[in-house]
Parts: sequence; structure tokens; C-alpha cells
Amino acid sequence: MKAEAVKADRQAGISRRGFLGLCAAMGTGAALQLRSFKAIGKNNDKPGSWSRGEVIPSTCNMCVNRCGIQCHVVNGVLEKIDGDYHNPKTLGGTCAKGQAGIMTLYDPDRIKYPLIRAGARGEGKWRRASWEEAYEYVADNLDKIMDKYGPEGLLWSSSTDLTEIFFLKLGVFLGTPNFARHATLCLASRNVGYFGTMGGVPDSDLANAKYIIMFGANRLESFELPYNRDLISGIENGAKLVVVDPRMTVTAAKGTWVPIKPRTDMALTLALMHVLIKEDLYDKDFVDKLTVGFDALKEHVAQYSPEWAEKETDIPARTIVEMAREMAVAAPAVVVFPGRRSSWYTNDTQFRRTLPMLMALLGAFDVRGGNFVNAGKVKLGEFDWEMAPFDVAPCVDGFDEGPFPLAAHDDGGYVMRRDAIIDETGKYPVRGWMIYKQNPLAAVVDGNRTLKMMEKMDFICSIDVQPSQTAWMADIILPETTYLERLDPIWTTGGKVKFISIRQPVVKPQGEARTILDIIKGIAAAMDKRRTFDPPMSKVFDFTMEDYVDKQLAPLPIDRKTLARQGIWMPGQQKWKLGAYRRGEKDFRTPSGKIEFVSERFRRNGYDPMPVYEPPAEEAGRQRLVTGRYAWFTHSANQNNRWLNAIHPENDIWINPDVAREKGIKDGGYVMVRSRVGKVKIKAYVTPRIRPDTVFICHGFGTNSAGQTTLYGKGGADQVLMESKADVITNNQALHETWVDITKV
Amino acid sequence: MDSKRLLSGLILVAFLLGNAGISFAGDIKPNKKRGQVYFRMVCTVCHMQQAEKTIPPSSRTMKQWRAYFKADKHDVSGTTRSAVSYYMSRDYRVAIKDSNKAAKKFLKLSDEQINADVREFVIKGAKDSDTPASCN
Ligand code: HEC
Repeated sequence: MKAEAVKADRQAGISRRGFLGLCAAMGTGAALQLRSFKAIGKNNDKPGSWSRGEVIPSTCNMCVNRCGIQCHVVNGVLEKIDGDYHNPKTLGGTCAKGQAGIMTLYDPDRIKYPLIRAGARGEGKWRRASWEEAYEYVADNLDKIMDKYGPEGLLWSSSTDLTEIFFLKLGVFLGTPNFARHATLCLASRNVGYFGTMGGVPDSDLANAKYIIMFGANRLESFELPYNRDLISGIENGAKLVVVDPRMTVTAAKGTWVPIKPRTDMALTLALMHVLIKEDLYDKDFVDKLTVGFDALKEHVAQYSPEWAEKETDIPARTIVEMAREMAVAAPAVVVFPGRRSSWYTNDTQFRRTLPMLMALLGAFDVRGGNFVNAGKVKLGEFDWEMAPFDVAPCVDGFDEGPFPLAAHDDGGYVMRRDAIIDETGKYPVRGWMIYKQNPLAAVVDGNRTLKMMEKMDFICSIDVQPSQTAWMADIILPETTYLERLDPIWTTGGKVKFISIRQPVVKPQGEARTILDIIKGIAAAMDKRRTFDPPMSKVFDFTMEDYVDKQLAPLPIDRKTLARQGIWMPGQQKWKLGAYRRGEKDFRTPSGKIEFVSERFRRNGYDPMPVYEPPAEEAGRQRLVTGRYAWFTHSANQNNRWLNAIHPENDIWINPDVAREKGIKDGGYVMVRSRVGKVKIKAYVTPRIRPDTVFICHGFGTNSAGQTTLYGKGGADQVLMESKADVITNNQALHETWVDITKV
Repeated sequence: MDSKRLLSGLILVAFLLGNAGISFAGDIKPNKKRGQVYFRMVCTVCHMQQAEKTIPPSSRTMKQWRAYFKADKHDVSGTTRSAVSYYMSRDYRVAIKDSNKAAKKFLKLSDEQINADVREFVIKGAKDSDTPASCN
């Protein structure tokens, strides 16, 4: 294995040491430097910083942000990935992950052939199968389950990406109503909170803001280049960045860290509103014209004084008053950052609601330096799908029928769905699980419970590029091509600038990996042999990715070949306009057409129409577990990437020095972490960068997959510790509702 | 759990659902999903072709949609047939059945049923509803 790895390194044309040096120079280390960050752009102002070979523009896929990349290919080998300086959002930048895409492509651990389980589940015994055999195997199992339980006996899991549509369509055409998508693992609560207040989630003009407040959002380590560039510019232009977080993240280190007691964020936002109103600092004109329910809000927040909030949040009342005053001075150029990430607590939706409320009091919307609504995207042509069956069974758990009226029903509620399947409290049994581009064993709270759900399954198929934890427990793994080996549907994006970009193959696939569309076609044809569908499955997928892309591009004055050369295309008309809401030309997608301090949607569905604060439960002597990421990892996707893993081979648990002293824990020593549902052995990182009542574990470690040879045996899994809790309005899993005991080992 | 019994129950539900349209006017149960398919494949397809735009449910409020269906005027510009109910009628479905998969599939359903389905989808997806819908 070692020799193979070295070979792969060499094949990739760059040594690991060289790569680490590169990353350090780019400032992707914990001490991310402003100046070096700017240098990314400067270094890439000119093309050809890697002079040899062919340069192919494409779109990165190492995280979800789709930065523009230039791939330097020499004799069919990808040697270097640079940022694409044509891309108007990423402007030639690319992060450590983006550059390490080479190692995801050439990872010796990659699955190169279909693998069928040859031992017990999770034992790691596999036999290589041909694609023909693999398709027959999958179809046989799907067919058996459909015979016995109907198509609703199938669970269909995937995460958002350009190619997800093909996988989803197979589930739709087979007739299952049971999907478990990304939303309730991530941002459902934020979406619904904003939806109930102002009809949607606004963008943020970070570059021109004078005051930026982020609640827990760790932008600089989530490494969303466009945002990061704007955030850095904003700070350089003199914006004050305030980060409210129990942990001092890299983002917090670049601004003012407000170490809030976890689960009390709503107390702070309510108190900020209290001060703004009491001291008459709010934007009356904005409130009059663009909001409803101010009088009720005024009455509601009268009870939430800074002195009261100090007791809840641990933030001095004086600081809260100062924050509110500083915001009011900076207003309307204030960004109240919506965040993007997972919900933390069971009250997340109501907390998120307070963010646009605060924004509205400051008049910080539809204005330079504030929040704004995306100016629209380039409209792509639509693919003409066959007509899908729609008279399908109701969802197994009734998710779409009542308990979560404001949730996005088609995405499913992960925690609720899992409970219904394990406990058999659903409407019928679910016995087959198709998983694409998702790693639920790592992604969902209480990993042991996800294992229990697997036990319920007669059949599990994982489509992945690597032997992830979930793939390792599957009955069959189908190897997908990486983003560097395939053509994807066109991506269209908006914000301050709108454009489209192409993701295209820069090298030939490794081994026998296939694109998801080809995989779906193979399964579809095998299903047609076993059952009659109207229309036949193979007819539904009777097209190529090139056909699909051509359809998308049809209305635009650019064709696929030209786009492949250019990487991106922008329409000439690019005016980023503000003020339409203020001038009354646009209204909000709420029942009143305005920003609602008192939410009509919440009211008519029986929720508190205004956010009501409830103090968190305390567990004396224990710590609240929080999670997050470092800049070089995306969820659990690339901890096994050898180059990225070299930056941070093993995760650790952040413990405050006072707590460590009390428990006799040394920095670098090992501890046992126990929660009500699991235990994990992990290295201690003793640091004042975290509150004494909180501990932090970086997500994505502690894999059970011996197939991930770089990662296996290193670090501990946060999700194994997390209790199965969810936000009460959306069923979005709540990641920060677990208390743990820590003991020295 | 007795999965067989459960399954036969489900089949019964599916059966009732599939035949809802053949029942008598008066006890029509709107089927939002069918309304969505019809709206997408009959209404929107034509809007894209003839008006070069989409008219999503979320472009109007529930009240506006109710008034729109009550007035039963299709478009103010007057370039098309005058009643929106015409585009939900069996006559229209027969006229386009060879080129439109949804019209063909729902050929047998009553005018009232398709009307109820489309209305259900559009109003439940209105701008001020709990689940505003685009055209996809
Ligand atoms: C034969 C093509 C066609 C079909 C079928 C069709 N429409 Fe239209 N529709 C149009 C055109 C053309 C317009 C005018 C657009 C414009 O004003 O530019 C229009 C306009 C509209 C408008 C806007 C009316 C206004 O005056 O603002 C609505 C609402 C509408 N259609 C609803 C529907 C619904 C609902 C259906 C399906 C039951 C439907 N249409 C089917 C072609 C069609």
C-alpha cells in the first residue's frame, strides 16, 4: 500500500512536503494570514503559473462551493490545480482542498471496481464484480423488495449536487416517496426561520459592510472563497467583525470573539433588539415601510433586558448595550449573517427567525453593505423528463402530512424517518436503502442508531468514490467517477454577479469508475428486465450527459464546446441593483408582503408567532459538545485525502485549561468522552479558545472503514456521541444538544 | 407488524386515489400531486413556448388565485382562448393528447377533477402559502 501511495504521489507530480509548503504559503493553517490570503489572487493574476501541459478549466467539487479551477494535465496526468482567474467570484483563488483534489483523484484507497460484499456487513470482505453483474445484483434486490413491500419499501438518500437529479429521478420513477436528503442534516431550520419572517434567505454584502455579526458561522474555515474574499475585503475596509461562538474559531480570531454560553444565542438577539428599541436606535423609516408587527415586538422584547441576558448568555450587559449601539451607528451597512450550516439546538428555527428581525430593526436590508436578495441567475434550458408516476404511497413516517407543516416535505426529515424505520412505527416497513454521495453513518446524529437502521435493511447500496463509513457497511459499492473525470450538468449561480460554469473531465476515469448517469442507466435497464414500467425505465434515462448539457445551454448564446474552452460564461448585462424593496417595487414572499416581526405563517400553524426564549437545561459537571470543521475538511469527505490528512492527521477534543486542570488532563494526552449514547477515545487539545462549559470535536474522524487506510484508527467520531435530537419546527437534526463526561485515560 | 395486510390497505388507498376522478361531481377529492403534474406539463409548457416565461403559483397570493379561477378569464392580453377552465377541460386534453404526455395520461378524468387538482396545487403553492411553489 505504501509503495502504491508513493507512486500516486509521484504520479501526481508533487511531493506531500511540497504540498504542505504550498498550503502554508497560502495561509490555510490555523493562523490564516490576511496578507497571504490576498496573495492567492495576486499569484494567479497571470495564467501559466504551472507552465507545462494542457490547461483545462473546470469547477471544483472538493466542497459545495464550486470555485473555478484550472487543471494542468501533462500526458494524461493531472499535475496541478490552480484557481481560475476568469471566475468572477473566486478570482483565481483555490484553497487547500481545491488543490488536493489531485489526491482525491489518485487516492490509492479509491474504489475502482464494483464491489459485492463477501463477508458479514462491515467485515471488509469484498469481491470484485463486473458492472453487468453489479447492475443485476442491485436490480435483483430492488425487485425483491418492491415485490414484498412495494416501492415505498425503499429509502433513497443523497446530498445536494449537480448530479443528484439523476439519482433522485430513479427513485421517483420506481415510485418511492421516501427520500432523505441533505436539508434536515443542515440548513432546513435556517431556511424556515427566514421564510417565516421575510419569505427567503438573503445574501450578504460583506465587502461593503461596516459591521458584520456572525452567530457561530465559521466562514474562514468553511472556506467558501467568494464569501471569504468579500469578508476579508470588508475587514480591510474597516468593517468590525463580531463572532458569537462558545469557541474561538479562526473566523472569531479575525474579529471580536464573543464567547457566548451555548444555546443562549436567542437571549442575545432578543436583548439586542430590546436595546435598539428602548434607546430609539432602530430605523423607523424602514420599520414603517417594510415591516409589520413592530408594536407587538416592542412589547415582546421589553422583558429581555441586557441585564437579564447577561445572566443567560454570560455576556456582560454593558457589552450587549455597546454591541447594539455600534450596530446602530454602522447601520444600515450591517450584515447580520444568516449562517449556512446545521442547526445546533432544538429551538433553532425560532432563533434563526430573530436574525432577520434584528436586520430589519437596523434597516440593514436592500442596501449597500447590508443583506440583500440575490439578483437572479442565468436561466438554463430545462430538460424534458418523461412523466413520473405521482400516485405514490404516503411517506413512511407521515412527515409530509402534519407534524412539520413548514418543512420542505420532499426532502424528508432524517431523524424522524430513521426512528420510524427502526422502531417500526411507520406506516409500513422499509427494507432497502440506496445511498448516493452521502455518508449518513457520519452525517447523522447518534451513529449507533444509524447502524441500527442498517440492520433493518435487507439491502444497502452505496454509490461513492471512496470506501466511506457508510459504503463500508453496504452490500454493494458502485464506484463513481470523481469530478475530475466527468461532465456534470451546468451550474448557474447568482448574487452580486451571475454566470454559469462547466465541470468537465480533465483526465480519464481511474479503474472502472462510471458516472452516476451511466450507473443509473445500468440499473434502469436491469430493472426493465424484471418489471414493466410505463414509460420503461431505460427510456426515461435514454440520453447522454452531453444531451442534457446541450438542453441546458439551448437558450443561451454559447455552446458546450465553447464553454468547455472558457470554463465560465457571463451575460453582458451584470448590474447588481439594490433598492427595489425600498422603493416598493418588490414585496416579500410573506402573507403580508412585508418582513413579519409577528409571523403569520408561524401563527397559523400553531407556533409562537414571536420567538420566545426558554433557558437551556444544565448538566452540572458535564460539558456541552459542539462540532464544526477545519479549513481543510468538508464534512467527512476528505479526511482520508492523504495530502489533507497530512495537515491534520487526527482530530482532538478542545478542552478549557481550567477543566483540564481539574480533571488532570494534559494537552496531547488521551481522554475518554462519554455521552448518553456513545463513547469515544480522543486526544485532548487544552486551550483557552473554548469556554469551560463546552468542548469541541472536529467532525469527520473515527471512521469504521478500514478501507480508508490513511484515516482508519485515527481520532474520534463526534456523531457517535451526539444524542438523537432535532429542531422542533423542521426536524433538522440538532448537533449541539449533547452533554458529555470527560475522563483521562 | 402484518406487512401483507398493511400492503393490501395501501393498494386499496392507491386504488381509491387513482380512481378519484371517475367518482361523481360533489365528492371530488383534489389531488395536489396530480395538479402539480398537470400544471407543469400542460400550463407551464405552453407558457414557456408562447409567453417565454413561467407563471409560477408563487407569483400570486392565495386570494388572487381564487379570484383568478373564479373569474375564469385566462389572460388579459387576449392572445389565447378566453377561459382558463378550457385548458383543464377534456376537450383540450383530447386536442393535445398526441403531443402531451400528461393530457394523454389524464384523458379520462373529469373537467371538475382536473380543475380541483390544479387549483389545489396552485393555491397551496401561492406566494403567501406555507409552501410556495415554483414551476418545476
Ligand atoms: C396554449 C398555451 C397555454 C396554455 C395551455 C395555458 N396558458 Fe396560460 N397563458 C398563455 C399565454 C400566451 C399567456 C399570456 C402571457 C402574457 O401575458 O405574456 C398566458 C397567461 C396566463 C396567466 C396570466 C394571466 C394574466 O393576465 O396575468 C395565468 C395565470 C395563466 N396563463 C394560467 C394558466 C393555467 C393555470 C393554465 C393551465 C390550466 C394555463 N394558463 C394554460 C398560454 C397558455
